[in-house]
Amino acid sequence: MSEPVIDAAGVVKFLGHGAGRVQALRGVNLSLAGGELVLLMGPSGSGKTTLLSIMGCLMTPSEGTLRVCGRNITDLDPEALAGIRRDHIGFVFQSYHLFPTLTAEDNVRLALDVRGERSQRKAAREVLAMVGLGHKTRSFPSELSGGEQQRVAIARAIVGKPSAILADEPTGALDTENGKAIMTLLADIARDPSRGVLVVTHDPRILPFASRIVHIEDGRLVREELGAAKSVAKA
Amino acid sequence: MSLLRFRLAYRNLFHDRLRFIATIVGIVFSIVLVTVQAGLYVGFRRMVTTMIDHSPADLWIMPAGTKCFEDPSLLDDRQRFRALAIDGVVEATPLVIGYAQWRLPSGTTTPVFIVGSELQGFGLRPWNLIGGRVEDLSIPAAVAIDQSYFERLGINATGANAEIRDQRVEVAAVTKGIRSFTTTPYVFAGVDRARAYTGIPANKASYFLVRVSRDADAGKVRRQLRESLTDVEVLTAAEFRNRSRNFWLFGTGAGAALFAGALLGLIVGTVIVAQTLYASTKDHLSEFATLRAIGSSGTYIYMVIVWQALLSAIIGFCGAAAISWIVAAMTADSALAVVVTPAMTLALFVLTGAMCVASAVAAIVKVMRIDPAMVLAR
Ligand SMILES: Nc1ncnc2c1ncn2[C@@H]1O[C@H](COP(=O)(O)OP(=O)(O)O)[C@@H](O)[C@H]1O
Ligand SMILES: [Mg+2]
Repeated sequence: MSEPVIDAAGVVKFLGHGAGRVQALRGVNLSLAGGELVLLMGPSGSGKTTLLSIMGCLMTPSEGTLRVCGRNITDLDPEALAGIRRDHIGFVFQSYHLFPTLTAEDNVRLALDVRGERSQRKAAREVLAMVGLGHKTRSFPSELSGGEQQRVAIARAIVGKPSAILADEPTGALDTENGKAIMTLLADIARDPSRGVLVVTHDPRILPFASRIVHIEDGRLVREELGAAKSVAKA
Repeated sequence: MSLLRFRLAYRNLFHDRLRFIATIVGIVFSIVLVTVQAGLYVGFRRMVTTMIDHSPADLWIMPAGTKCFEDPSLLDDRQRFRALAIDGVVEATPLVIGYAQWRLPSGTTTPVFIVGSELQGFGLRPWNLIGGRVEDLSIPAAVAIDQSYFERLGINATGANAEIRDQRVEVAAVTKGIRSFTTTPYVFAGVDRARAYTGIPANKASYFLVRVSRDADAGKVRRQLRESLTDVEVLTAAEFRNRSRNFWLFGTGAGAALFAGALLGLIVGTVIVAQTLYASTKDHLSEFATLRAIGSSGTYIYMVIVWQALLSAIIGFCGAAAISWIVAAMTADSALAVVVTPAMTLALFVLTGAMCVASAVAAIVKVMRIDPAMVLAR
């Protein structure tokens, strides 16, 4: 098996201050390899979002170490962390987080623009076509359905060719059909052996797409099982 | 520069029309205020020294303690002869100034300020003539006044008559744009007529205008003048200008008032822009957090905000410049001329930009504190 894209070891995370301080993660070991789609499942408040935030370098662990593409990023400052995200990670959020004042194409281009990349238009259109929105490049988010907006968000996440795609409840706001389409897309992305996808969910309809399912409860990983989808990395 | 970043900035800016308009109105208001104050200052500065600017003198001999051009103390003619005796002094001609009452045929009077000089050779003669000639002032009773004071002086054309000190006055020449800071109309005349109008004896004068020979050392001439004349001061034109300016603009508080007004305008502008930029940034906070989450550098985000500030500055400045030019054109011939020069416009543009960027500080501080993890909060 290839070197993991993201590797969390013994991760502990405290959140909040004073009386509101909680231990959201209590020693988590989880790695994401290229070519696999890992589902992170667990009840509300179990620490899924916190773990995803740490693996996505949006926050640093209180204890333990995190490696991204072999690099220990545990002690990096916010600016350097932004650089790691820029180079290696794509995000998909439950509430899309598209820029309402920009077209679909510009929303996707933005991910390249922050990387300082030129000739973004062509790349943005190609990726939008890939997610099935080749005909809606000039639409604004308000003119798109929820499913379409999430596809734009996925296009934005993958356009920079990151090593990992992290998605927090990507189907949470979608109906069954749209949710299925989004998961199919993410599963397709995970077919690329150089890219891993981590999806946080408590939606059982997603199970068939997973190559691995990890269960979290109360800040600890409690169970792991192989999914229905064959993992390329493990095949 | 990234065009997309710029696009994001202006879309953010125009997204909330009402706030955008408020921002622009704030900038326009503030910059027009600053321009008017600065323009008045430049106008006053010019007005205060206009007589000195139009005098050919290298050196001015004046009674000790003279505060400004309009200060009416007197010199004795003997000083003039002593001056002329000094090597390097080519000319030393008398200039007579003083307040007088201008009496119309109807009997009403109004104060005027007499400026009397040699009409030929070295002297301070009226300029910008739009009626009559300087030579016309040689005929008895002839004076020159400015067109803008026609109404005040009850005059409507050359040839009109009035009286000063029971002596006849005939307007033989008319100037354009020679206005006084004190608003008292200037009346130009030959030096003898001026003495008659002000009651100054024939052997007295207010100033002696000195021309220094080309090959003489002006500094040395001045030293010698100071040594051989008593109770006088000898100033270069530049020194006299400064002294007049300091007296009128700072001694009287007029300058301080203008600066205070300009400063107030700047403060108001900065506060308004800072306030709206901050509010706009707060509205778009989740977008900035998203930018941060997808890996944008701090600089990238600050530039979006700085672009918003600069765009506001450019648009606001254009509005302010247009209004300022209109104000300048409308006041050009008035007693309170707002003078807007190209250099001043350029300086104000830089100032507007600086003001808006300074206003961005609060918004940038806000964005600096952003936690990118907030995008996952929902
Ligand atoms: N900013 C915070 N301050 C304090 N506690 C927090 C904060 N964010 C989350 N928590 C708590 O940490 C735990 C894990 O939260 P989270 O990772 O969001 O769970 P999940 O995504 O599985 O619902 C929860 O108990 C939650 O209340
Ligand atoms: Mg969550």
